[in-house]
Amino acid sequence: MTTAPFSEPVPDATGETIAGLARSLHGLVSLAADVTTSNGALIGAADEAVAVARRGGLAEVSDDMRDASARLHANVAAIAAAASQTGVAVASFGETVAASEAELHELGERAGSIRRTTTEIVGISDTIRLLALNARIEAARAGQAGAGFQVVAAEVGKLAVTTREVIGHVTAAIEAITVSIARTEQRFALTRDALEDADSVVRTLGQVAAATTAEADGLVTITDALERVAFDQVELAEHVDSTRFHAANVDQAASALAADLAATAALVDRRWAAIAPATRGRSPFAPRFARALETDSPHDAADALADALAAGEDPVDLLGAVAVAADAAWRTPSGEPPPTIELYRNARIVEAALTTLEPVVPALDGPPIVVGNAWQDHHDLGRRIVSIALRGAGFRVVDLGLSVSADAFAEAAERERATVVGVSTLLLHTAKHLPDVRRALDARGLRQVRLIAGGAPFLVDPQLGERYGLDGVARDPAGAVRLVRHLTARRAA
Amino acid sequence: VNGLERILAAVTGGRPDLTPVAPVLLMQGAKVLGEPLSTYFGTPRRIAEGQLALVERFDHDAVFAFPHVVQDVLPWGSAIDLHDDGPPSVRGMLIDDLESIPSLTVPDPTRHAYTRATLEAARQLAARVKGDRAIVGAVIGPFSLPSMLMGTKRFLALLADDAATRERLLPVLMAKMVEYTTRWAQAQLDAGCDLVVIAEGISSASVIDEATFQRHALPTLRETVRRIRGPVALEPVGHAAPFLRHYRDLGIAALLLGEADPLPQARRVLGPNLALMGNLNNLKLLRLTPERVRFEARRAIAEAGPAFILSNQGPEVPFDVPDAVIDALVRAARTGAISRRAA
Repeated sequence: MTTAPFSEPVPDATGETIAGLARSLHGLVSLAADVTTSNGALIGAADEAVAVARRGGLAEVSDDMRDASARLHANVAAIAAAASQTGVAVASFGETVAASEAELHELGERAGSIRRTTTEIVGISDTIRLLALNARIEAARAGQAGAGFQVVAAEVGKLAVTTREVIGHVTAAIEAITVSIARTEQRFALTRDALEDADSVVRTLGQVAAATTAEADGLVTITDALERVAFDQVELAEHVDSTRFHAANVDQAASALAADLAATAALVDRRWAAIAPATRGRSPFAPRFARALETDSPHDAADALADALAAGEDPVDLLGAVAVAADAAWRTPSGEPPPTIELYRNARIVEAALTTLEPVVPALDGPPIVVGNAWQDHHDLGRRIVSIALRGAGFRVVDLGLSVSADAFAEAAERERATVVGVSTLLLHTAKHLPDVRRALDARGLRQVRLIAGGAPFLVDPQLGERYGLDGVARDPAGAVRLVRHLTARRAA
Repeated sequence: VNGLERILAAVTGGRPDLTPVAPVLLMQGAKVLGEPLSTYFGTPRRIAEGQLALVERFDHDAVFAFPHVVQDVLPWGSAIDLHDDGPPSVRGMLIDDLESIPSLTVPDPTRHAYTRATLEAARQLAARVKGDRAIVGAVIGPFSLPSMLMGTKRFLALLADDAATRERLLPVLMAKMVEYTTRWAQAQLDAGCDLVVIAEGISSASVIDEATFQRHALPTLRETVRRIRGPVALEPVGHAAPFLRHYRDLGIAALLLGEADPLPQARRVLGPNLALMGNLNNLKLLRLTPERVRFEARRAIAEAGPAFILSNQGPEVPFDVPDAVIDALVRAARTGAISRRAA
């Protein structure tokens, strides 16, 4: 697209209007750049979330747990059944052992009865042997007449001896049987003890099985809960997918918007470049200053500004150009805060330009911003850089300096009719004073004044802002400008 | 296996039985002793008692033999302010003119009663737990000490403004910083410390760019580590990931990382043997539940591999972090790593 130069001088009012329009457009371009950068970060986060959500795992885990709990249930039931059967068998065996013991006991008693009978037989046998001996003596006295009786007496004596020998064998056998019965009774006693132990083990096994069944039931409950979480995870994954889809749409729209705005801003720049010579002469200040920032050349920046002022350029336009260049310099493609040394390099160049320009431009009518370090905080670099960024963006900054008390913040906010109070803090223990600032503002009836903060603790954990009741936290100068614009725009609305 | 053995295994490429755990508990010493912070920090000998009470309470693997690194400015002639609601702060800057750098005399680190008391605390800890727990000392790194002596803005000005001034004064300044840092670290090792942490906020990627790091910070750090006779851990208090490759051959025993520095990336760049420490977000410990802390800790253990010491990112666990959270952090290391399903 080409731009036809204006042939007629442009009235100053029109020129100022165009210059103001150009500044606004550049502001919109930087806001669109903010949107695309933040949305890029949102898409990155959504990609991570999608990857994590799609990784799933909970559903598989809950399935595994359900299978495992079912197996556990089955195994425990088998163990309980086996324990029960074993208990029955042990009880049956115990009854058998008890019956056998009773029979054995009866056998022992019968053996004792036999032993007593044999003792009686031995006594009878001894009596017979004695009678046989007497018969033989009497037969001998009877002479020939007793010869036959003597033979009978002798045979009766032999029978008595034989009977005693036989009874001896029977007695020995009965003793052996008695010993065996005693040993068997001892073994039965051991068996009875073992049976009692086995019964105890079986009972314990049954109790453990019952308890494990209860635990397995608990596992099923846990599995149910896990499954619900798994369902939530799946649902979350779908929502994240949807968020990713919409974020991509926003990204496309924001990119298109940024490109359109940039093109429009470029068009206005070219138009302005074309008509400006007709009124005040064209200036190369903006690109020279931007290049000086890019290359960290403070002297080039100072020369560019001096040349522009010497050429009679409007300090308001130059201030606008400084703001545009500074705004670009605070940003990184990733949206992450740049190293402090880069902020320092940019800040000293921008501050030098502001120090030159601010005395010669009309008083800024932007909303005043009160800034300062938290109570007992003596680290001024961050506060100074952010102040410069805010000044460059067109805000009137009231800088209270180091270690500002809560009441001093509130007093300044009231006096200056500030819309935003910004507190810088490097340390956690000085950040702790932020709620005091909120209380001091509220005590003066300044609930509408927004309280924001920045500094190392908020880089480490931005959610600290919620802990301290803040309206926002900024991670870098660009973020501070964006946040203050947002808060002041809401206030104006 | 005791705490020292676990930590030694981690820093020497071995495989500890359990992941060593060393939350940086400094102010908690005052809490466990029931003493105001200002009194506690005013008498470094109380450090030993506080650290022993903390080990008794949490059963972690390391004790810290220093009250706070701000003490490092005292031998130079700077003063510190003690507070009841936080660590001490430096009162005023010693160097208000860069041209005074050449005439700056490097002090004996033990010339101040406060630093001598710190060494006495280290000796007392050594008498009680040497060989059982790792005794950890700390110094402000040579590239960060200037910001404590002249202010960060002035030091950045020296680094970023006039090249001629920088070339003339920065080497002189760095030589003095290295001299002081190494002597102070050595004194702590000689007093019984097993490991000295170099706290290096200014040389992190949060503050300087890579070119400045390579040109000015890296040689300074390398020389410092070379001159200290003993194990050194480096703590870039800030973003470390962009400079990881430069830490690989520095000769350090361990690198303390923050939450913003992904452990898998660090492991990939630094190889399997350099011990990593970290990387739980110390400020998030203020709001995370014990269950969440245990999860984060176990995830860190799983990601970092065996050469790892579970800890928080610098500079320390905040005073208001509940005991239950610290307990959860320590217990997480005692129960092994979580398994991660393949993506």
